[in-house]
Amino acid sequence: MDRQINEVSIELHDLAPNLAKLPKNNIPVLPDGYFEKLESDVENMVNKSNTDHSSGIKMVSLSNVKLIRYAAAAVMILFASVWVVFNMNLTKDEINNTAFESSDGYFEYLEDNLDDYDINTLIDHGLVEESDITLITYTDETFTDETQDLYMETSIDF
Amino acid sequence: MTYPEDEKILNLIISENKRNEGFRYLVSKYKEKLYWHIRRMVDDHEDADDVLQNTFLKVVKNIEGFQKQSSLFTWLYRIATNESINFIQAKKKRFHESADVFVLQNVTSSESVNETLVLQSLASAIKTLPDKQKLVFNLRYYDELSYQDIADITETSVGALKASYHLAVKKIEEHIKKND
Repeated sequence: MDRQINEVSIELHDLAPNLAKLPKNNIPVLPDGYFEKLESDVENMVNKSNTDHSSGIKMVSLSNVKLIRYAAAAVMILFASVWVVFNMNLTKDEINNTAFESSDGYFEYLEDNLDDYDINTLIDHGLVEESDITLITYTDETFTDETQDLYMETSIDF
Repeated sequence: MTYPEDEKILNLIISENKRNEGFRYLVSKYKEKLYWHIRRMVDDHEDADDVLQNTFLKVVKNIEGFQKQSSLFTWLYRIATNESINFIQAKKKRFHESADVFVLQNVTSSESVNETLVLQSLASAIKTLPDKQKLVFNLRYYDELSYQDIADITETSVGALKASYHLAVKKIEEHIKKND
């Protein structure tokens, strides 16, 4: 540190000899005993700050109540959204199930969405039976009341 | 009075049961240096006292985050410098006035008249420096810090600091010569 001060001093002498001659004492007036009581002042301020901080925690806890309310509202909205989505899905599933439970819809679906290749693949994998293909091929539109009656008569083995 | 090494002070502060003792050492060891550093930047004692206490409060709150990448001493100076600059800027906004640095308002009557006049001349010369240059000048001239320490505090390169200080000293020297 002394070496450092010496370096600063030499540098100053080289750069500004007049400035180097001036005293460096801190001349402004200080209140009596300022530095002596500074530790206790700082300690008091830190303690006060901690106290404020503690009371701040109470405030935070009050705001936590708000936060909890917001969180509860958010959770309720989330549950409501999940319920709506779930029910929408359920409705879709129900529709799908209903569609598949109804042979007409099922066949319509297959007819609209499957080509021969797909049907063969489904058959190969045992997902549909060949008899299903007959039903798919002969939809309501292809049957007139007359042909349908005929089909039913020939299909049903009495 | 001799104080423990910075490392020991830090260890005391980090330990739960000796935290207060550590802070007392820290305040005792650095209070005067930091006070005068701040006092040279802000206008008067009351302001310097406020800034100093805020500086120590910041230190207390942030000491656990002190990474030891710089020395404790330069870290304290950096906080004090930032607090002073913030204070000066806030004051400028509040009062629309230029914040004077180290204005010799309360010159002690025990000083000789000549010395007081010369020091007032020095103070007015320092006042003419730009803020950053003034800070560099104060840290080098009054606090006698190394360029490396000043670089750590101000986060500026050593080369730029040297140039800044040399120019500041030359300007003040000219001012003193003119008023001699």
